[in-house]
Amino acid sequence: MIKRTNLVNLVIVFGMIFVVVKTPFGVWLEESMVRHMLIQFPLILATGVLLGFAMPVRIQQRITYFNAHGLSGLILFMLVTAFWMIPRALDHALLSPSVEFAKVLSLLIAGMAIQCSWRPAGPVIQTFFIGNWSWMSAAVGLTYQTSSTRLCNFYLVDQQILTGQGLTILPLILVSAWIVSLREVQS
Amino acid sequence: MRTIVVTLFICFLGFAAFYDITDGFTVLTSEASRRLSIRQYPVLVPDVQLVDVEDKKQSFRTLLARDGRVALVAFIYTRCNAVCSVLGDEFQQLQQAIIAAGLQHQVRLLSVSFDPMYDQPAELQRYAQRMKADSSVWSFASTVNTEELSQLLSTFGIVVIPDAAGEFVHNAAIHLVTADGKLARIYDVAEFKQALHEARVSYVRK
Repeated sequence: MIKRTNLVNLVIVFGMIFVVVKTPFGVWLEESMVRHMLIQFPLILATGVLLGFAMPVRIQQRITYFNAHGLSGLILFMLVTAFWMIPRALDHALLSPSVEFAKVLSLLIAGMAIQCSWRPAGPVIQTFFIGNWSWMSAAVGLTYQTSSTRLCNFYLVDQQILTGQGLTILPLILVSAWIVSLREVQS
Repeated sequence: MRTIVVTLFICFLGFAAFYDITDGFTVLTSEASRRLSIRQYPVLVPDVQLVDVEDKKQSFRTLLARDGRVALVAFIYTRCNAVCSVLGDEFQQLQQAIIAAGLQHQVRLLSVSFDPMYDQPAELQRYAQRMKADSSVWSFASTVNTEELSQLLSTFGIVVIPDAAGEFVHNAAIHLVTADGKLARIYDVAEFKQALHEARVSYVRK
């Protein structure tokens, strides 16, 4: 029943996840908080987005039934990304294989969700979403930078400050890119 | 309508996940969670072999029980330049406070090394002298085997990571352990006055 192209896509996706999580490259990524949160997470999310693009039209249509204006998908993305910014969640992911699995799965689904939801959301909801996500990321980033104690048992304070800076700069980049893309839409 | 139901379901799952990881919206870090759990349910410390500055070996619980005082325990390694020296500083202040208030029969201090390869009894003795430790209040110990050490660290929730400079990075805290071998409280290093107060209360209540 599964088409050959779909099968190839699935193999590619699982291959990417395997490389990002299970290989020495994945271990290297998780060794540092910055690489864990600001390289590995986006890579898994991006894989999810690719998976979304590769999804058969039939399934995509099914999803739109319960994803009016991309609402469900965007909220899912928001909750998943917020969750993995909690220091204790990061510790757990490093400590327990099942939590690590949940992390990969949830980020993968969040990536798919944003792919399915972005267009239906339209510019108003998109703007609201980007704005909310940005302040959340910046607030967490500032907390990471100013915390006087180590938040994750597995990472050092300098890593935490660096990650905090990354999470604070990320929204600036996102919002700038967003404004540029909006101007393109208007012209 | 379908969207609303699914969205509510997603929110519910999110709520459950956040509730779980934050212990019911009370903690954000593993450290905070551990402290809360120990406060509610004190845990028995593992009965590992410890060796003191005089090369005398005895098990952790025996050492606590024979002594009878409430112990404030910290984990250190003697080569440390960072957190341990802070810990040492607070312990020196605690030592003074204990002697000044005449509490040396109720509360004791114990520094345990997690670097047993280097911190042999002689090295601990040198460290004790450097810290101007009064042996009637403040004692030092090292573990004997690495398996027991990791057991000990895991009970106390100490995570030790080697850093770039060839030293260790670890979470520093003050642990209140009662004479019957129970780890009952964990404090930030800066809360050492509260630690002393509660150690005393815990001794009197016994």
